[in-house]
Amino acid sequence: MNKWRHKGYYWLLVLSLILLALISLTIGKYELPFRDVIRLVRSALFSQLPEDDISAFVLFSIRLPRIIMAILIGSGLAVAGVGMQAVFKNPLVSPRVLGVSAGASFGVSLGILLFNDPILIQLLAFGGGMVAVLLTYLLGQSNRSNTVIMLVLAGIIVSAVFTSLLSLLQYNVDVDTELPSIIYWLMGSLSGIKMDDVKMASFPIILAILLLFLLRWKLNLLTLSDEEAESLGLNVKLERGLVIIAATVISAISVSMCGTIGWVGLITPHLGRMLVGTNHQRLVPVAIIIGGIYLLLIDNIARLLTSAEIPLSILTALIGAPVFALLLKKTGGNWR
Amino acid sequence: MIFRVEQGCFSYQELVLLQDINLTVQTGEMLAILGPNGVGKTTLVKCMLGFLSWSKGESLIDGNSIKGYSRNQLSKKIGYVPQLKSFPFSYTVEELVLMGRNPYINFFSQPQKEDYCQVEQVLKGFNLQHLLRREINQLSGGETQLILIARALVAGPELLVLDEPELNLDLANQLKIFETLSKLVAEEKIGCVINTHHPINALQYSQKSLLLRGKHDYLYGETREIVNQKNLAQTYQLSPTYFNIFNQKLFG
Repeated sequence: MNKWRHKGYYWLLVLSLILLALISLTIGKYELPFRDVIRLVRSALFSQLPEDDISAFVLFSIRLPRIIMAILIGSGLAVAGVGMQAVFKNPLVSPRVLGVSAGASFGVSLGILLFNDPILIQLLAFGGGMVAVLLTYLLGQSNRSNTVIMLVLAGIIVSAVFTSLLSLLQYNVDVDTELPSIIYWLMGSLSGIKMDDVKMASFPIILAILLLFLLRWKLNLLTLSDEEAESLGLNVKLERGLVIIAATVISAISVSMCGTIGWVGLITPHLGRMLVGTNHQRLVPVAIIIGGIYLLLIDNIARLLTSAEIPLSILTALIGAPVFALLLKKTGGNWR
Repeated sequence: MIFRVEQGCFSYQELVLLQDINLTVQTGEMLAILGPNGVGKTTLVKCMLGFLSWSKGESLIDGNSIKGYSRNQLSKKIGYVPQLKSFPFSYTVEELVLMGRNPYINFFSQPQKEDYCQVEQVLKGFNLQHLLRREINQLSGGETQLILIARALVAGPELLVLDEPELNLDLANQLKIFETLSKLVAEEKIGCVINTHHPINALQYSQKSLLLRGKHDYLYGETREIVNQKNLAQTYQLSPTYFNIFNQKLFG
């Protein structure tokens, strides 16, 4: 009976995501009713698209990549949050706990300062995030004490260093041009996303999501104490390493594509737990869908609310926090 | 199965914690490990299981060193029941016990029907099938401890190692745990190693005892020869009249 209820939630969520994606194609400042969307999709699939068609350009080069990216990043951050919460055996952890955001943000600023070329900025952001987590991992290696606490402490240290390096850069850049572009980048937006970005980001993100999806049952064991998990035959170091790598790749790419988007990785796992409980076998697929819905919804609001777009990181928390608070009050923190 | 430790020594940095430990436990046998806090009982158990590696000496299963076993193979042979504590994420009883099937579930796989069947069977054996859908954090201490034992059993081990299974349990629940364990030892032909602070439980249920007294000092043998007033008073540094007072007040 329970099983059917969970299946029901699952298909309901998938359906909502598809519906939301379709609706998202039609909304925006450029008028593009649903009829035209269907016509354009049909002609794109079965015949040649008319050249210089503004509606086709808006649909396929502006809206579609943006929607795909929102779903990819939202789903990725959600499942990264689930994975990290399992690894750290703590539901308060978000994917940034190991310093990936701080490292990637520093990379963004460095890129803007040195090259000001979008692709190089993205690469530096990704590299910065990976380097930060690698440092955290090396620093947190200890064979004598609780590795999880060591990792958290190492993450705090590395984050602090990269955050102050970021401030140092911001203090020294040109106040009129470079500083605003650093700040706006870090506040997060999907507005400039092109199909090329999607092509570049989708492969590693999908791979990382797939890895966590395949490991979903093993995540249950990771939440036990290390010794318990090991006594049950789990290779804790390997599994933990894989989850951390997957979560880091997702987070680093998300900063490199659309700035630091907080809250998705923290809140969506909890929303998932309210629906299907703590069992990661069910939680992972549900979190993937909820993450996609959540970020796509937020991005739509960012597009529509005012004539100038509101940065994503503001909205994810400004909308997410009250909603989360309400749910928390209603359920009393008892997930299920 | 015959599980043996031969000349096991464990030192942490310069400090020698365990020296020259020799013990044997086989199917149908229960071994109780007793000793004061901080003397190294948990370390001994961890070394036996291979969580920590002996500095010298080794643990053997049927004469083969456990170093030759992979983590996975080992957890099919030896089940471990940790000390009772709450879980940061609350699973249902079924989900938690299912985790014991991990050695049979491949890297990217999910539990199959067979795994669920095993879980149900073991819980039935404990008369706990009604708890299947309950949340683990809502169970009583005694129930949770039984569930942890069930989790160790679903992998079908031949040796069960328990770290203070009576921790925080009342006398009735302690009795229940030990009755369950000695029934398992007698019927299902498994061996049992139990870390305990209660000599009475050792006396009543275990055939063999190991009394860890200090860094290089331990007694090992038949329980009735090891666990007696003199040895206990000496090991725990009790006054010689401790047991007399206990006797008088409780039974006098």
